[in-house]
Parts: sequence; structure tokens; C-alpha cells
Amino acid sequence: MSEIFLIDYFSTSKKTFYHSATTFSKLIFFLCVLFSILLTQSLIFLSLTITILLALIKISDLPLTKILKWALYPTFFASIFAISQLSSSSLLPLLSILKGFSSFLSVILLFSTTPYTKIFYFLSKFSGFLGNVLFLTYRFFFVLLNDVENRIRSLKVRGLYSANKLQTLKNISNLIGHVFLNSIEISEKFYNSLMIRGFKGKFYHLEKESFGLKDLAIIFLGLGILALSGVVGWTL
Amino acid sequence: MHIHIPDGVLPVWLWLSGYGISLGLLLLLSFKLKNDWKSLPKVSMISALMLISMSIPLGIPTHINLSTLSGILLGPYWSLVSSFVVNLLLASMGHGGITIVGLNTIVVWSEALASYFLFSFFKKLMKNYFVISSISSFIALTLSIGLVVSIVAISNVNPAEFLHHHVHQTKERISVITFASIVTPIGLYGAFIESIITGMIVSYIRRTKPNLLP
Repeated sequence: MSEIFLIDYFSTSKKTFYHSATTFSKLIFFLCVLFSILLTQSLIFLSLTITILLALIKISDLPLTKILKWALYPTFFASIFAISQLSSSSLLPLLSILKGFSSFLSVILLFSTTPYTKIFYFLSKFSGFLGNVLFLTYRFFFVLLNDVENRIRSLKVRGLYSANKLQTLKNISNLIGHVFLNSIEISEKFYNSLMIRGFKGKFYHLEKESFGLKDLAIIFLGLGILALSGVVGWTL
Repeated sequence: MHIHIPDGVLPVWLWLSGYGISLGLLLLLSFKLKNDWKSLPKVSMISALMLISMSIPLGIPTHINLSTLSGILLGPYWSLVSSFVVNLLLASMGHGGITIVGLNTIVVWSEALASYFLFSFFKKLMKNYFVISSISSFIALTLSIGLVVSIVAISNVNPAEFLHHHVHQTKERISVITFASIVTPIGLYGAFIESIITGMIVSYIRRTKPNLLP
């Protein structure tokens, strides 16, 4: 789960061309690419899209090797489906793996170049309720991650992973139980501090984004990929 | 059971239906829950804990996700919100496709929902919280394995039609038997481990802060 930590770091610390584009243009690009990946049945188109996405990842100064290592995870799950599709067609399994891989790259490109808070703020325009839960979960994730890492480190010294499997499960359960009770305490304190500060069911994002030429270029690139996939052929 | 189905495997109508159902339910719930600010930090904290628990290695090709525990602790309504949020955040790092968030929400919520009702039912029959939460958790997780296999089964469209518009054959696009034979043993093993852990956590909460349990 360290990916979320690194993704957050990449999206907030880097200042490249793609990072400085608006959330709106990057979301449009992401949706265009995602729909073209989902609708196409062309291996050549998918290979071309993967090349474009890898180039954008490189331009955005993101660690390509690490991202390709992360890609093993969705590719592994795609291969479970690919194995299940072997009997029906020889092309379909390869399409499934390439689709899983390319959509993973598009998701990683979006979240590694756009801070979570900006995406949540954008989503909160559609549902403030969900936006609040997303924002708080994201915030608490880092609070708890630190707590869990410290506890795991100290418990490892005292034999967290024992040779006795049942004892290991008991240790893990006690660890989670401990973290859970601590997290409930933190959440109660957090609620009280929200009330003191006059929380009225909405979080605000004050940073304003300005739409520029680079945003137009990103949107046109996305639309171009979508149009190209239409030329190559769509199937619902 | 939480299967990370990647994008592009399931047909568009199926994942769109998944989004339709889960977002429709969330919309209805948002009217009911939007003023329940007091639960907001607790739900978010449990969602964050679910995300973190998935990173604790168990030495097997599966991980715990605490969905059944969230069902017992959050109840049927808030556990849906938590399931959606967790799946959306997981998809943001490639753990499951972004198009499958709706379907995965339904799968994870079904675990939470089943464990909540089973836990409430068994609680009337016996007093051992480890046993009732473990049994509730195992049954709920086993049911969700069935749900995942059912989703894959109903996703089957004609492969020839999928590739060439005008050919009609009756062959399966995804072999449900092959898929089920890969997923079921791993899923059942994971369900067994998770139900024991859930039982132990519930016992721990029962000993230290019983008022948190329903």
C-alpha cells in the first residue's frame, strides 16, 4: 500500500508540464483514453496508446521502472482472466492483458500528476457527501499508516510473525484491534475539532486553477486518441 | 473476497450496470446520511483501516480487507459508503480497474451486509463473539466468492460477436469453470484466514470497548 504514499508524493512534489495542467483537462484526457481502451479491439491501437502513455509518464518525470513494477499486479489479475479466455480465442487473452495494462497506466498518470485533494474536490461538486468521506479517508490513511508502521516495527522485534501460524494470526488481529481502537479515539477527537471550527458538512479547496494552452493541447490529444480508436473500430 | 478485475475484461453494459446500482444506492443513502456528521470521521477511519489492512502480508496470494468487520461495526448503510470509497482509492493505484469500482463496491458491500445480518442473527443464538463473528464472516465471504463467479458468468457474451460483429456462436468468452477453479480455492483460503482474524478482532473489541459492537 506504499503505492498510495508515493503516488501522493509524485503528484504534489513534481512541477512538470503535465503536473501544471488543470484537473479538468487531465480528467478529460483520462476519460478519452479510458473509453478508447475499453472500446477498441485493435492490438496495434492499444500498443500505440501504451507508447503515448509511457511517453507522458516519462515527460512527467515519473519513475518508469517503479510504475512498470506496479503494473505487474493488475497484469497478474488480467492474466487470470486471460487464462480463462484461452479456450474462446487466441486474440482475446492478449487484448485483456493489454487493456488491463494500458488502463492501469492511464490511471497512474492521472493520480501521479494530480493531487488526490484536487480530484476529490472535483468529485465533491457532484456529491459533497462522497467528497467528504473520500477526503477524510485519504487524510486518515496517512495518519494510520504511520501508526501501523511503527507498531509493526516494534512488534516484529517481539515476534509478530511466529513459526506458529495461529499465533501469527492472533498477533495480527491484536495489532489491527489496537490500531482500530486508537483510530476510533482519533476520529472522535477529529469530530470534536471539526465541530469547534464550525464544520457545516463541506470541505473547501481554495487553490484556483487557470485554464491555458497546455490544457487545450492535453484535451485535443485525448480527443485525438478517442477519434483514432473510432477509426480503428469500436465494439460494445 | 475481493477480486481485482482489471479494465477491459468485462462488457461495458455490465460495469455500467455496476456503477448504476452502486451510485444509485449511494445517492439514495446520501439523503439519509448527509447530516450524520458524527459518523463521518469514524467511517473514514474504518475505510482507511481497510485500505491499510490490505497491505499486511499473510504469506498467501491474498490479503484481508476487513469488509466483514466494517459491516459489523458500521451497519448496512455506512458500509456501502465505505466499500465505494475503498474501491475507488484502490482503483486509483491500479488494484482493480476504475470501471469495475461499481461492481467491486457491490461485491464488498454484499460481504459487509451479509456479515452484519448474520452477526445480528447469531448473536441471539450464542454468546461467544469469536465464534459468531468468525462464522458470519466466513459465510459472507463465501457468498461473495459465489457473487464474483456469477458476475463473471453473466459477463459471457459470444466471443465471435465480441470480435466480429456479424458472427453468432455460443462459446463462452470467459470460461467460468476455469475462472472458478482458479479463484475459489484461493478465495476460500483467504476467507478462512480473514474470518479467524475478524473473530479475533471482534473478541478484542468486545473485551476492551464492547459499546462499539452492535
